[in-house]
Amino acid sequence: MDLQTRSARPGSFWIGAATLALIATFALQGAAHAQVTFASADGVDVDVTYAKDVASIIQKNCTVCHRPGGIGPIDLVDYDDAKRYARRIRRQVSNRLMPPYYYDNDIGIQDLKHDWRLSDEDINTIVEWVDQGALMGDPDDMPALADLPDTDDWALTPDFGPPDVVVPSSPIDVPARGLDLWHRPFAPIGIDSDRCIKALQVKPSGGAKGVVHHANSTFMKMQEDGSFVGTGDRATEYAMGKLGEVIPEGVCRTLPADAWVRWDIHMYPGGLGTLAADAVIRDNVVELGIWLHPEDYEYEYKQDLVSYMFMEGQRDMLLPPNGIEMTQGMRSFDHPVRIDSFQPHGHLRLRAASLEIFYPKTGRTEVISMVSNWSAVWHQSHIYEDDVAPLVPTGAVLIMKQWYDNTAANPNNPDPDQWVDYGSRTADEMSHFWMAVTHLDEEGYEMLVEEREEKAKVIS
Amino acid sequence: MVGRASFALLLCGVLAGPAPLWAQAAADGRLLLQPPPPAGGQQNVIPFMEGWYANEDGTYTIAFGYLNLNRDVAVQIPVGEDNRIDVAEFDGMQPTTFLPGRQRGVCSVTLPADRKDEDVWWSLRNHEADGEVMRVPGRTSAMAYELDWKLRPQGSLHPLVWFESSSEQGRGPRGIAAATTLTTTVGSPVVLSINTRDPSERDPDDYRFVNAIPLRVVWSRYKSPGDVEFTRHASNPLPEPEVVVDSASAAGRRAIARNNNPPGPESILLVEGHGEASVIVTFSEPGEYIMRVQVDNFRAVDSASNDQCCWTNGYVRVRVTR
Repeated sequence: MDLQTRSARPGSFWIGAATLALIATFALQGAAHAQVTFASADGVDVDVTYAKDVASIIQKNCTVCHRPGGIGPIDLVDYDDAKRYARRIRRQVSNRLMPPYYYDNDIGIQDLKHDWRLSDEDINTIVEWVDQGALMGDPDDMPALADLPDTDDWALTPDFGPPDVVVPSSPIDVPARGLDLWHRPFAPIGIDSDRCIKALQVKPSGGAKGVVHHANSTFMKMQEDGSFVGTGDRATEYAMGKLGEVIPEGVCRTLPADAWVRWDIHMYPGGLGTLAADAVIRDNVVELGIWLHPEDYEYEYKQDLVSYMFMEGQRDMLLPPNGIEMTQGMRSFDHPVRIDSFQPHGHLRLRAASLEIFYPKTGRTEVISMVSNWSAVWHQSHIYEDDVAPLVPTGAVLIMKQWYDNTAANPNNPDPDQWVDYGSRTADEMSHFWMAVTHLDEEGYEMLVEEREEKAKVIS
Repeated sequence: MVGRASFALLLCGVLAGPAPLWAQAAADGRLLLQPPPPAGGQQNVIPFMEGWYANEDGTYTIAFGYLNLNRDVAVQIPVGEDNRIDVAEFDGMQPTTFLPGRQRGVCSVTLPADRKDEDVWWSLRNHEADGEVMRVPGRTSAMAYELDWKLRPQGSLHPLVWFESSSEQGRGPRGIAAATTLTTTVGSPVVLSINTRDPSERDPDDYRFVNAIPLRVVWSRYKSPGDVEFTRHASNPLPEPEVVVDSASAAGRRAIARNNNPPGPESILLVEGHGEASVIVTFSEPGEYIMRVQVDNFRAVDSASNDQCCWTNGYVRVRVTR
């Protein structure tokens, strides 16, 4: 969803005559007919109904946010809601703007964890339902309303239970407008031995979801004099809309003993997107939830999360007014690695990003992931399924491309007449990828390659 | 362990065309896709709008900076057709000396409350580059570019700056200009001084603020018809080099000075976060000069140039005769 909807209110949507036709049909046929065929307003027989086909899709994919008190701008709880916004729903899902998980369907790896995308089948069902008049259908077909999680709760709890540790930042008021803020407090974690992390999630307080642009958390150690030094380990990176991170089995991202978290929380007063508060937010606290493996957890390799940048520090970025630019960074390793996740980072002018691998031995380049409709409001860490996470041989080159649109055609652009360069503000730009990388050795790399080849043989 | 990495850079317009990379390799040793140098041998200077402030008195201040793409060359562009602000009353306040690199928030204009919606365009053309006009509008329409005077999260504020000649204090990019014009002759040194204080409100229990955050004061050319030479003032002695012993040297013991790049005489560090900062300046040509001084607290964790806070400008006019 583009940022210009920040102040949008639900409009007056056309409600066709289908509702009346539906009521009439029910009235004539009664309720106890499972194989009923419904008639749309124009008399065409329809076979896609809300109760039988659509309700389960909307409940599973939309209602968690679109409900009273939810983070979505409209409610999609029952048939009346869906009927009222039917055309808007059709437009959003058919253009793959909702659910807000932006990742190209026809390029690169498609097997992702925590993937919010609708299947083609689900999209077609919704489109047909709307085109056929958005009928209710037989109420007996309605699925029971799912037990929805609270969006203020930890999103990974269904998978892992509550976090083992919660590390809050210190509270801060966020004004309704003005210069971006960067809040950098320290917070203790309270774990006194080295541990391996299973998953992480960063959660702004409810009202602050639209103003926290990013929240980086880095592990630090306190010295005897009260000062801090870095441990070299980053906990995680949060950016607006991001779910969290899940570390694959068999690898370890380390939480060092007695570590503290150094927060770096970037806030954009007023906010962005549909969650924009446009008001002062009092006592915003950002929390880091950490799920830990048991102390006797065994692993082969280390994993880390690193920002792989366009050049060193991105400081040569320059976007001309009303212009389009592309940045490209490259990175190789002196040992084999597995790319576990991929997350482009930029601000309001970033529109697309891709990750490729160039194999010098063959001269071949492979597109791994592509995001053609990137959004500053929904940063997602695209977590590859374990069996398809890219295995990168020693010396292969990661190619990181990002495309920026500083024209008026970019609905997020605050002013296309401005020159734009690197900067921390939301109005300035950045160019980097956050990637979780498992660092392998040659033996481990060969073993993983062989495992995948064996699986491929079995499947074929 | 992340191994040694090769990190290459390419920045190009996506409309550069479909020619393969190898076809764009230049015989003169330039990198792939690197554009040829302009005919004049220099790169452009690009004006930037940094943002805008809603002032307490109802006026609006728009801050400007620039990017001189030349890494080592200061560019001179006199006010006129090639260095113009298109609202006449503001034309002439902009710099004419453009230091290398990105210089943020070097000048500003202030619009009355009833002219909030007016665009203030700044245009620059460097004839030693490709001759293209670079321009930017200063405007107050976008919230994304709003700046403010509020306390930063860890307590930083714009330093307060004043000259002895006036009790008035300046803060932020709008800053303050010395009330009096200094006079000197070509080759005769003159002392430039400014007073400053950091009003930031920091948590004394935070270890980062147990000691005062130093203020950095940097003098630079703003409008300079000739060359300017900075000489270290007695109040700003060269820092003592850190000496270490190189036990591996042939002589067995050899002192090595660690800080090989001490700050120049135009850069002064006020370690207590307040005080007077002076530099001695000598001018090579007669004319009307304006010297700019920037006072920042960038050593604080919540203050940085690319965060657009916190620094304050001061301006001193110097009339130089033969």
